[in-house]
Amino acid sequence: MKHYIAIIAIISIFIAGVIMEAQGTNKPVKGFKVTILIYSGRPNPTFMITDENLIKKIESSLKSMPKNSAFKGETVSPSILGYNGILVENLSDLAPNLESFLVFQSNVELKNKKPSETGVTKEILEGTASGLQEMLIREAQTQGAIDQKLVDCIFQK
Amino acid sequence: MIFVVGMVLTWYSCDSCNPTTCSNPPYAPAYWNDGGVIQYNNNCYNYANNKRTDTFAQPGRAGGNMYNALNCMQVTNGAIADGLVQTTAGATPPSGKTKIALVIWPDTDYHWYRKDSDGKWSHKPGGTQATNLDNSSNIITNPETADRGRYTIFCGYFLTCSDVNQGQGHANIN
Repeated sequence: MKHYIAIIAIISIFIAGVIMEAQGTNKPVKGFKVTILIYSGRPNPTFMITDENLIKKIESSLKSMPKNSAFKGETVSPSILGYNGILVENLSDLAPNLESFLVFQSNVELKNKKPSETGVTKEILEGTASGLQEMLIREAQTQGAIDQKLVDCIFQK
Repeated sequence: MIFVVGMVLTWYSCDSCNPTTCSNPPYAPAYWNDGGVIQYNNNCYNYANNKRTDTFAQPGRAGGNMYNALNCMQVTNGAIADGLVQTTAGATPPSGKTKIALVIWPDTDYHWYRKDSDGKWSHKPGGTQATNLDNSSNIITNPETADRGRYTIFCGYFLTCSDVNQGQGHANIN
C-alpha cells in the first residue's frame, strides 16, 4: 500500500512540474503591441516589438518630441476608410509610465498611466513626417505583418 | 407550494411574452468613441448592427458560416447566417428594423453603414471613431454615392434588429 502511495505522490509531483513548466512557456510576450489601423471590418495587422533597444529608441523618440499645441482635434486618427494610423500599446516594463500612443503622419497622441504636472494623461506631440510612423511601418513589413500592397496604400501610392 | 408554482409561472410568462423589440437607433457616436476598449474592439459590423461585442465581430462567425473570401457573395452569406435579411434601397424597413449597407474593398476588406433614426447614414471605420461623414468630409445621405475610398464595390442593403440604446442591438453577431 505504501508503495502505491509513494508512486502516486511521485507521479503527482511530476505532473505538477510539467504543468508549471507549460504555464511558464505560455507567459504573455512583453513588449510593444503594434496595430496598423487600416481595415474597417476584418482584424487589423498586428505585431510585437520585443527588442529592448528598439523599445528604448521609440521611448526616447517620444520624449524628444515637442507638444503640438496647435492641434485642436479630439484625436490624431481620422475616421476615414483606409489608413488611420498606428496604435502602439505598452505591454513591457521598460517604459513604466507609458500606456499607449497613436501615430498618424507626424502627429502622436500619447497616453500616460499617471497624469502629468498639468493633470492630463493625454498629450498631442509633433514628430517629423518621416519619423516614427515610417519606422513602425518598415518594422511591420520586416516582421511580415503587412505586404507591399498595404505599404503602398498607407503612403497613398 | 403555491409560491413555487407562482414563481415558475412568472418566469415562464416573462420568457415567452416579451419578444425582442427592434427599433431604429439615433446617431449618438459618443458611446463608441471612448478612445479605449469600446472604440478599438468594435468595428463597422458591430456599429451597423448597433451591438457591442468587443470582438471586432465578423459576418458569419456567430451564425457558423464566416466568409472565406472578401467579396460581396461571401460576406453577404455570412451576414445572412447571422440572421440579417437582404432588402432594397427603396424598401421601407418593417417593424422597427434598421437598414444597413455593405461595401467591399475588392479582395481586401468589407465595410458596413447604418441608417440612423434621422434618416442619414453613419459608420465606424474599424477601430476609429464613429462618424456621419464620408472620406470627403460630407454628411452621408446615400452610401451608394458617398466617398468610400478603396471600398469601391457596393453590395447591397440588409435589415437588422437594432435598439434605441447604443451598443444594445439584437442581431446574432460575434
